[in-house]
Amino acid sequence: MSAPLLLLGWNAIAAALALAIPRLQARWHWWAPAACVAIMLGILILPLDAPWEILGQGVKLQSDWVVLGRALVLDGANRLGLACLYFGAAILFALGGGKSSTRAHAVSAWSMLGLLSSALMIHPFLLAAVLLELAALAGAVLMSEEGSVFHEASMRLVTVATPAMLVVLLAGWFVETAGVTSATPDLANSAATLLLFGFAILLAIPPFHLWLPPAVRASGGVRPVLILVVLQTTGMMLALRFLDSYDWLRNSDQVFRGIRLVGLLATCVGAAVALAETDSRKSTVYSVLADSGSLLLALGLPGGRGVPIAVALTALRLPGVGLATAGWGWEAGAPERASVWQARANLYGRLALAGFPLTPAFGPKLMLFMALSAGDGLGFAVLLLSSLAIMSAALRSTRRVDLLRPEGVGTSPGPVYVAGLALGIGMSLFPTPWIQFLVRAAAGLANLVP
Amino acid sequence: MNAVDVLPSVAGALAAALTVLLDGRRPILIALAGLYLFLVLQLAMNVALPIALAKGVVGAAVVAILLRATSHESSRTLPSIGAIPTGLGFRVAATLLVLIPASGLVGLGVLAALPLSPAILFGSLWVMSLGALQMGLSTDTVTTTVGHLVVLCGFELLYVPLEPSLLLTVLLSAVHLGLALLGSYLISLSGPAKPT
Repeated sequence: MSAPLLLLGWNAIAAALALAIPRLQARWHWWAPAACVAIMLGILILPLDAPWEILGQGVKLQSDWVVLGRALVLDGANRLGLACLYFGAAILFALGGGKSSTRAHAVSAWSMLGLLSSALMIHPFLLAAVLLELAALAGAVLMSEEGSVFHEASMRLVTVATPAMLVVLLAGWFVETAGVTSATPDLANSAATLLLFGFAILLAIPPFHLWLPPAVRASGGVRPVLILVVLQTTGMMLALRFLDSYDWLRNSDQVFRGIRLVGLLATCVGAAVALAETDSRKSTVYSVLADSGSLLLALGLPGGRGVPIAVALTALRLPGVGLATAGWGWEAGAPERASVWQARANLYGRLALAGFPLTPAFGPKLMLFMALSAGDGLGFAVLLLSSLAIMSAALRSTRRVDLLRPEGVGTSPGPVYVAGLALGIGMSLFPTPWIQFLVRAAAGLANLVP
Repeated sequence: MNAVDVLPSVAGALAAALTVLLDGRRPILIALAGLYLFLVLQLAMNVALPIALAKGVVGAAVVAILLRATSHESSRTLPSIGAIPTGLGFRVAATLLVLIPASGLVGLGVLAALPLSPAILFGSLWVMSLGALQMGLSTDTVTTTVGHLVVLCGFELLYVPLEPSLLLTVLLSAVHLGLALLGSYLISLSGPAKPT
């Protein structure tokens, strides 16, 4: 049996179940995360290309699946990315709260995850651009609202994703067909510029994807954030694979300077707007955008020495994002704060985005601060100020909520928030095994993570 | 490059311009069909005939899906776009203003490195820029979808001769069909248009 086929089959089965059994919608925040966690564990644990036994039967999972002469491959280079993708989706499905609003939304969410998985697995990379566009189309269905005259969020998502596909395809042609090497600096510059532009869109660097914060208010709360997180995670992992695969890209100081510049821009703009924004949900989304800038600041460290930090941040920021959006619901008009535990989870999540101590991202953020302090004063100052801005915005938003109140209003499932907080605090108290695990899992990026 | 070489590109740009200039969803979709026909002819001349024919089949399906989705629409007039003027004069001026800088991009930057004739580059850039204009001017699901499709057609004019891969053709065709199905689905969700 083929592992990529099995993975995509799981997604297809989940989508089919959501479509066929309407009652599952009411239990969405239980079964969807459970399915994502099962897929994630399968990706990380199952041995590939080696025989093993299950219930006395011999099984061998092949790492590749060939379709129309091209291969989908599950290997060390993409296992971590795929696991992060499903980890992020599980957290948002679980903490987002409530049922999925329509069956179409549930099916499109699973389709989007399947297409993004294919984008991470396909060889050559070039084709990933088209799969990302198809994932954006599924995301557009996820953003749709019944009765709306013009589906602005859906259309703007596709409008932003399409140029990304076009430039990455063009860059892919330069890389794979035109023969870009270190000896062809003009071509290399053209390809690198196109790639940077394409990945800036995928990673939601401002001014791209500024439709997201208003969409959080106008439509379902957690759906835009889900799209943001899965696109960013996939974009980051594809960027790492590009860097890992091509010497000319990896050895170009200009590329790392460009990544750093884009990271500075995203961090500054995101944090400034998060601080200025009075709507707490919009402010949270801007905080997520600012946090994504810190991933690029890590990746932009000279010579790729920040890659392990970027990998750790990509994975360890996910609980924070999930908790920051806890209880937002899938539909518009979900209660702002249904329970005191939700308020606590939201505050903790937003502080995690700032890299606050006792949050999962604190360890890698501290490593980033230390790395930046060694030679990038501007980057250090920008990251520090952005962390302070995100923290101030979070504290201001929760100022009016009594977090010590023994019980809140509403009927939101408190245990989910308690479990989310326990996961976050647990990961922050014992960061070393997580970081070691992530760096080991990233070993497939052999050229980047020696 | 002589004037005859660039004539097919002018025809493509004209079809793309009609999607911006025409009023009413059906005429716009007929103009889109014309653009697909132009794409088929261009690809038949520059790439393999089967790929061109495949694009033709996809184009026919896309236009049929969108026509079917808009078949219940009684109004032939597009909704107004709030603060953006939508008169014919404005659209003609915007079309010309977009075509001029798009023409200037040929031979610049990344495009200079592509092994394509200037006629193909002109045609591609004109069509893509007009699709982008359509997207920018629209707050209607059908016309915005058409804008996306026009951009894709323009890109394929440039890209398919560079990378005539079968799988890529299939995937790009899936994007065309996906866009049409998305547009059709969103139209089916739409409530009655609000008076402006």
